[in-house]
Amino acid sequence: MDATPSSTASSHSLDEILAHRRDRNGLVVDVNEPQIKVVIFTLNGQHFAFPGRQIHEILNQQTIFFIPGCPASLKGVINLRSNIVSVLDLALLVLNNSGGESNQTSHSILVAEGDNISSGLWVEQVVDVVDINQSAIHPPLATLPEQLKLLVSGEFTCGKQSVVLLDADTLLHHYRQQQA
Amino acid sequence: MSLAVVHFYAGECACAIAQHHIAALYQFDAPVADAPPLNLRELLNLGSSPRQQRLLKLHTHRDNSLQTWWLAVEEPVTLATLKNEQIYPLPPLVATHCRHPALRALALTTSQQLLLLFDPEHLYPFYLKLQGRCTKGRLRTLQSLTPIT
Repeated sequence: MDATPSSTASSHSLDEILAHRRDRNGLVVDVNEPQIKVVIFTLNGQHFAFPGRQIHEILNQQTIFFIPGCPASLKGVINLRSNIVSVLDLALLVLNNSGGESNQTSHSILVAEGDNISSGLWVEQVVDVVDINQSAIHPPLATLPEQLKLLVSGEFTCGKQSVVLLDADTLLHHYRQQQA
Repeated sequence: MSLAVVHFYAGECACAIAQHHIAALYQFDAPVADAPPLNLRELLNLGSSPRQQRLLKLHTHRDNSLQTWWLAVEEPVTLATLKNEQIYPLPPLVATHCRHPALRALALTTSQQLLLLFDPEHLYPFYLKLQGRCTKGRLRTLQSLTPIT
C-alpha cells in the first residue's frame, strides 16, 4: 500500500478513524425482539397454543381415572407422582366437540396452572414447543365463535399454520366459576 | 394416622367407606334387609356390571339417633388400611363440578389404584329418598328409578 503525499490529502488520521468506529459502535441497536415460548398442540386437527409459562408438564400415555358424577368436560383424574390432578377435555371446552375416549392411545395431557389451581388438559397431540416474537401475535379475529372468544388471547402463524393462542388462566378461572 | 376402610366396587369404580360405619356384610339375597338397599352403582349411574353383589349394613348418626340402613355394593369386598398420605381431598375442579355430595375424598392404594371415598352420612339422604319412592311393603327394583342427582 502506497502512502504517497497525494493520497494523504483525502485520507484521515488514525484518531479520526478510531473516533468514527467508536461512534458507529455506539449506534449498534439491539434487534432482539421480546419472545415468548409457546406449546403448540392440536384439537380435532386444528392448531392451538398456550404460553409456555402456563404449562408445567407434558404427559403422554397417562391413565385417566373416571370420577362418576362429573360433567363430560371433566374426564377424570390422573396420578401425577402421587398427586391427584383433574383432567379437562379441552376439545369439549374450546370446540364444543369431544376429543375422544380417554383410553385412546394417541393423546397428551398438558399440566397447566392458572387461577391458582393446577389441572391436566387433554389434547389430541403436542406439535411443538417454540419461541415466537411477541410482535408476531395478532389480536384474535372478531369472527371467532363466542365460546372461543373468551379463552383466546391472540393468533400467530407458525410455518404456514395459523395457531390460536389460548389463555390457561382464563380457561381455568372460567371453568371453576361455571355451575356444575 | 390411618383410616380403616371397607373396599368394594360400584361398576368399574373402586370405592371405599370408613370401616366404623359398617355393621355387617351379607350375601345380596340374604333375607336380612327390611327395606330395599341403596344401590351405589345405580346411584352413580354406572350402568350394568357382571360383578356379584353384596349387602352392607350401615350405621349412621342423624339428629342424635342411630340409623341402620342397607347399601348394595359389588365384589370383591375387602378390608384395607389407608395411611394419611394416601388420602387426598378432591381436586378443586372435581370438588366444584362433581354432583355427588357423598364423594368426599380420593385415595391411592399401594398398587396405585384410585379409590373413591364415600361418606355414608351423605349417602343416607339418598336411601331415605329411595324409601319414599318405593311402594310400601313391596321391594321394588331400583332399575326403574332414574339416578338421583
